[in-house]
Amino acid sequence: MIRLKNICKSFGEQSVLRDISMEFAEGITCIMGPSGVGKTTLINIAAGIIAPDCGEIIGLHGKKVSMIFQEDRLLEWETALTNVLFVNNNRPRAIELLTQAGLADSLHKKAADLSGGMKRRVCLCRALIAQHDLLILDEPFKGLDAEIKPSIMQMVKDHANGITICITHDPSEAEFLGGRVISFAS
Amino acid sequence: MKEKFFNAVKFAPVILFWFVVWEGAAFLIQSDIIIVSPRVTFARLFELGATAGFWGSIGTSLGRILRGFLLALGAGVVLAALCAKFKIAERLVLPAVKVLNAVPIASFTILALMAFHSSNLSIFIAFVTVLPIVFFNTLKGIESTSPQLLEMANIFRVPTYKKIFYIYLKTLAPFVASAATTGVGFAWKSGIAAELIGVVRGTIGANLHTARIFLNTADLFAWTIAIVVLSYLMENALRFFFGKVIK
Repeated sequence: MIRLKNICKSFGEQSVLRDISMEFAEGITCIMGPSGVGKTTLINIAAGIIAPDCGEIIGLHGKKVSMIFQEDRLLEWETALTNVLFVNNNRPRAIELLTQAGLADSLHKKAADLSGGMKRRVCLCRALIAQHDLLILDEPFKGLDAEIKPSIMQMVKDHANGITICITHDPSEAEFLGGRVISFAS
Repeated sequence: MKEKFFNAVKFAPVILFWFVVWEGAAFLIQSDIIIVSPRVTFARLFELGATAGFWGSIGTSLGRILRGFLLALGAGVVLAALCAKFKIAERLVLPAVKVLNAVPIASFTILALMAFHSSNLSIFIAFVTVLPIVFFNTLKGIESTSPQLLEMANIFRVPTYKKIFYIYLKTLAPFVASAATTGVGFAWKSGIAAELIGVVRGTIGANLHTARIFLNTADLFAWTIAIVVLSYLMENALRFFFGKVIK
């Protein structure tokens, strides 16, 4: 369990989070809400990437974090396979995950040559292969084709373990993943 | 390959034009001390090329200048990495490299002649000439490394050696390549200038010195062509090497 207690965060004059408290238990928690309300800031605080201006995070210490960032953050000059192996050297597992994500034919293609949706799937494989207690997914299904999306969502559901926090704009994605839904308002 | 051939074909008339200008200037001036014609220059170059001394001088100069260049390449990258990592290193090293960059080669050469054996002169001069170029380029490369990628690697607890190999080296390679290809030309020019000032026996610089003493312009031109060709070859060898690395 991770607890965020009375968190606040401002960027310059702009206050993004004010006195936010919430808990993330084992299983999937979806965070929904319009753009710009501070969802990404909140999960970046939960992941320990940025420090809050006030409040505390309880239970994060010693936890292994894995993440799909809002941006892809891939090594564009490396292949899809190398990008996954970058975080974990388990080659058979990397190939298995990429194959499940429909990227069997693109294992050795450079990330720069992949489409937006394919890159997102590589990001997902990278997040899933990394050992984790806390899995953070910031819009993991962004840019995915309608045909492949259900199988990728299923993949997340099957492989997510520990505490999983998923940001989404789409209520159907939250519904599919199940678990708790937190709605964020400005 | 085909493209390279066509480029060479396109470039040939340009070379021909300048040879004609050169030949014309030699014909008009009619003074073998001021200018010798391309025919005389190349005839002398072939004559020199047939002697062991010519290749010996090239080998000696090339070996020493390359040593200085490679030392500067290594030291420049390591110093830049230290400066990027430790503030104290930056405070200490940065002003020293800036001074190194500003001091004229002639001052260094005279200083070095007083301090070292002249056989090491071109190594030292090539080193001090190239070091600032490599240092500042590498520093720029390190500064341009994506903080987002580094943050990603930190979140995934990626070991340092992987971060260096997959992120830093890949980002740095174009910067180091640019510094190396620029630096090799400078190393070559400054190294030979130092050999000339120090009259280091058995080197290209010493041959240029002899040509100057005896007002032997044909030798001067022939050696200059040899220097230009070698500089071009070294620069292209580096371009080829870094082209493979960056790929």
